[in-house]
Amino acid sequence: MADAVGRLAPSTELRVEDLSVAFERTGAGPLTVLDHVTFDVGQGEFVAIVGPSGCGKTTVLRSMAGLQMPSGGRITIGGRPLAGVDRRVAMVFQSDSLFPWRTVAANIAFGLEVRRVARAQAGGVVQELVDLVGLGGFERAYPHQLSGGMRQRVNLARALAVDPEVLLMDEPFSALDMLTREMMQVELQRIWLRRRKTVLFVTHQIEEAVFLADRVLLMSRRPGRLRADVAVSLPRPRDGHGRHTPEFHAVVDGLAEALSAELTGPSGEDGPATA
Amino acid sequence: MTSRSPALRWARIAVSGAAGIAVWQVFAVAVVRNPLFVPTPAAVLGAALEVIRSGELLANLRVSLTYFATGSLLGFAAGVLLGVVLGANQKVADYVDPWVSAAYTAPLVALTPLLIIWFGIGLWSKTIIIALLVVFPVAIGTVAGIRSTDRSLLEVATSMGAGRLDTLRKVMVPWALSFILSGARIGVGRGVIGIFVAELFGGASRGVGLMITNAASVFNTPLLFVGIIVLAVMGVVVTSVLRYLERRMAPWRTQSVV
Repeated sequence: MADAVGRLAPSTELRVEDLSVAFERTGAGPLTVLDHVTFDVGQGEFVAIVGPSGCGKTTVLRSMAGLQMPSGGRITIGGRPLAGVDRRVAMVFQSDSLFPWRTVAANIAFGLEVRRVARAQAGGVVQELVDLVGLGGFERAYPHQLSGGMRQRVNLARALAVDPEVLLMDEPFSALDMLTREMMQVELQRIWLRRRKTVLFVTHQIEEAVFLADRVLLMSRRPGRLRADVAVSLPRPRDGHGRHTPEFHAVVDGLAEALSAELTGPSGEDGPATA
Repeated sequence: MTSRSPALRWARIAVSGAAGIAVWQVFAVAVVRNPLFVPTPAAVLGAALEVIRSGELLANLRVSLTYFATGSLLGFAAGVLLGVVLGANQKVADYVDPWVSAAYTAPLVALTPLLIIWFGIGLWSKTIIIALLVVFPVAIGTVAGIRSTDRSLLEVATSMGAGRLDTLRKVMVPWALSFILSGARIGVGRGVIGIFVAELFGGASRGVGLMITNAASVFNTPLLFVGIIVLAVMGVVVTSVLRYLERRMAPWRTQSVV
């Protein structure tokens, strides 16, 4: 039943079983994007998914956020199935998904408003998160007045505000320059160590995945399957120096090798990705 | 100073105005040479001062502005409402869209005589003709805005569990604001034409449009020009206010949507 690669962690929080997604196409058969993907994420665990572009890693997250209807399989959190939009998950999107007409504070409050949280209570939560993500003093600024890194802090705070059990992050730092990205990775780790959410983090950058995650899942080319499940046992908190240790590079190199084998190896049913 | 500095912009506007008046003066004095056909700027200014002093202009303006304002507001509100319904509901839009397009393109001012038969020669018929001219561009702008809502913002709302009404109120309508105001600008332009036509057919006792019609019937060309300029200034003022609102309320857009 379970894919041989996916490990079943003891204190399972999030379980993905045989998840398949196919897109309908006009003039062609359905395009299989995910093919029986199975893995577990433990409570409070930080898991990164890497894979070639177009492999369906984002689709895994979208299936959990209720934005993509799976064609097969099951997703459960704490044993209870996830169907459609679920309050137990929140997603941090790629850049520029902030509401441009809302201030920083109002953007963070969005989920609370939609969920009808009392204004006074929401105000407290928002202030707490503004401080947590280091945006004190910018509560009343608008997104277009912020730098890319600051916008992604707001994005993270907006997702954390609804206090999800599982935090989904879809390449949140991909649009940032390298220095800002590395700083945001350190920041995310700091915030995660304080809040200890279960995190599923999608990226196409192996270094980013290894720096942040407890485990890295490697996906194959389309149709996406799980190829490897690598534990990262580097001590935390990890900092900039950690990126230069032999241990870090050993993990990164191992994954890079597996990924390049994936890119050059025999293709899946659809041939090379064209997207 | 850069080419975008406000001082330079105003300077250019002043130069443009002065040049326009100079060309007009030359055209009237040297080319046409008949004040009945084209009055000089000075003659128009004289006529303007006269109707201002006598209070005639203000009295006319007050009447025109009253129904222009109520008609515009009525048309704007109805246009936003119609646009939101059509923008949010594809099925309804499939039925209604062709009618909105038809009504937008049709010369609705031609309905004025009919509206006067229905609603009488009072303010109502004129208010309604203005509202009719404003409602469709606003509706079309609103629909365009709502349908163009950024997909990723809609997904944020969906993933947070926002229902249809919340998505509409908190995402689509704020997104569409610039489009709505652009529609309103077009609507106001049409409304100004509506003032003249409504009063032409409307049997009005007062109004800027009537002032123009009366001036034309006695070949008082300078006064005719005064009326046209007053209407044009009205249009420019309202349009500028809408543009200002657009910039204030949607500062993240670096340029106007239309």
